[in-house]
Amino acid sequence: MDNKKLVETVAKNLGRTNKDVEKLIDAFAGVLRTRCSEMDSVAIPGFGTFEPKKRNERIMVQPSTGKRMLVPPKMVLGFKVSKVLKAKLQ
Amino acid sequence: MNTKITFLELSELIAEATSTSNRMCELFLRELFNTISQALIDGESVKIKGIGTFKVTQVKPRKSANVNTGAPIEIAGYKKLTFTPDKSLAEVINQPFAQFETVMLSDDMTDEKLAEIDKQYPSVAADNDEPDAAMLDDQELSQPDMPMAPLPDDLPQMQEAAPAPETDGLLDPIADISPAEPAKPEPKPVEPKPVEPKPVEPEPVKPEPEPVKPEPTPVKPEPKPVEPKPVEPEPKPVEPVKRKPMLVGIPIDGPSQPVPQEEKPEEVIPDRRFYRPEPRNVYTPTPEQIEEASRKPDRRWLWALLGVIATALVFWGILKGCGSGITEPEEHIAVQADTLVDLEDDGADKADVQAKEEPKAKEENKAAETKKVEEKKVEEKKVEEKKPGPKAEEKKAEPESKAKPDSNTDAAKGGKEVTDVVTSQIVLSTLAEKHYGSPWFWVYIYQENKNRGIISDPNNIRPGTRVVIPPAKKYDINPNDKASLKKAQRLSWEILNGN
Repeated sequence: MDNKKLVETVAKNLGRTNKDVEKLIDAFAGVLRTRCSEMDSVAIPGFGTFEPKKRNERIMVQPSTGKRMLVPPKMVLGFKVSKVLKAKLQ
Repeated sequence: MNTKITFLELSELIAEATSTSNRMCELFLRELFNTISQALIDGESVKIKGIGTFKVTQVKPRKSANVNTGAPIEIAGYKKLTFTPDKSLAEVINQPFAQFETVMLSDDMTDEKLAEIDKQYPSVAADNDEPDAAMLDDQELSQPDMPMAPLPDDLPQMQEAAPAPETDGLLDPIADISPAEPAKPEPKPVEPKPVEPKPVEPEPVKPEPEPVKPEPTPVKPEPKPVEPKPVEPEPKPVEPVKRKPMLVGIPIDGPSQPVPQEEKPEEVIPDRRFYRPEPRNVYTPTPEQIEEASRKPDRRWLWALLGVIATALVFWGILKGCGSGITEPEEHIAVQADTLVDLEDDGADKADVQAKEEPKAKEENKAAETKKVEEKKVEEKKVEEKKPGPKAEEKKAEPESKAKPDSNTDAAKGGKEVTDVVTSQIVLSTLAEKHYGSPWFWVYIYQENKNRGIISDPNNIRPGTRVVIPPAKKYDINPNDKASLKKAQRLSWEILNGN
């Protein structure tokens, strides 16, 4: 399901226009951006939690050359599936 | 900061951003995630613009063993939901670390070295996070060789940088970091200078003799052949562990070096060439090494002595030619060397200032100072020996005293105590070199100041600490005396290994 189809489906179920739904999704993405870069996590009941995490730096060996590389630390947005959804998936 | 945004808060935030009703947003969110969940359950992957992709992957069953019993068990396969954030979203989240790039580690970067760097830095980080963060930037960019070190400490930095971004202020994290950059020089000097500086040691030896060269040309060839011999074959301190006490060990060619005054090529210079090699090769010798050294035939000392006498003779000749004016430089050098150190302080010691004055005044001072010193029981006798002022003056004029030229400061002359300042560049051994003629005598400065409670750890002295340089006589300090030197070496070895 790509973005377009998702927007259409949600719009149809809500009885709103595609544009409205797109706007709302954008707003949600905006909240995710600002709050998660502040190390806040966003929880959605029945679906999961978006939480930013820090990946530590590490030394990686390039398999082809055998050279060692230092990979810098990194912030990633992790997603933790809620138990409800996890059970439904099985 | 590290708070969990609930569903209600989220819908409120979205309502605010889109100026729609709260109720509408709640409905929308529910519907949105229901749709996504349904699609996922159906086995589809869902891609949302500006957020990312949700995908269900099948994890195969795998075999494992019960940790306690060792019985083989099979972990059943399951479906796993993975989320890959959109590129733009990932970039925003990673903003605090955006400036870092993957760096290639050079081949000579061993694990031990990395571990060593790791060990060094936490202590620095404990003091101040900000400069450390700056250093981290700096090192990442400029020294790809050792970027490992600061990285572990960057969590605090990240958290500081994080609160900034308010969509239009996305660059803020960087702004947070960059002001700290000027502070970088602070932590740098703190880190113990690692293994590199050692090869530099020999260098200060060379420039010193230079100013003398033009005059005593005939003398030069004699001592030269002597030097290389003692330096090379001597047991070198191989163990890097014992070299650790760097702060004491290295004679740093800082501003404290009393030599740079080429104008007055006093007798100290040629002589120093003989003593330098010694400390270099016995840096932190074990007692066995010292013993071994003492068992060696004394031939090179014979040569050295010859050299000293020859140089002294030459200088005597020069002095005679130049007249009486040359007797003064000795004090001037002492004063200059001191003032160099004291620049930031409230001027040079009174003693130093007085030393600039006429010989008459000096005599008075000496008398006054000897009174002060007399209060100390230990020194009493020694002071008595030196007391007669005119005698001291006579001595200076005499060539014999020139033959023992290391006594280039007041402390070494025996009568009085001097104080000097320890800085990041000037350590105890530097002071010992300056005042007594050999870095080995730092032990006595250390002992004196330890007894007075001024310092406690020879390797950890606060820059700016004013230490007392005890009179040379108090500890039988004589750089020309091999036994005295040896004693100091043994003592320093004991101190450094005892602590």
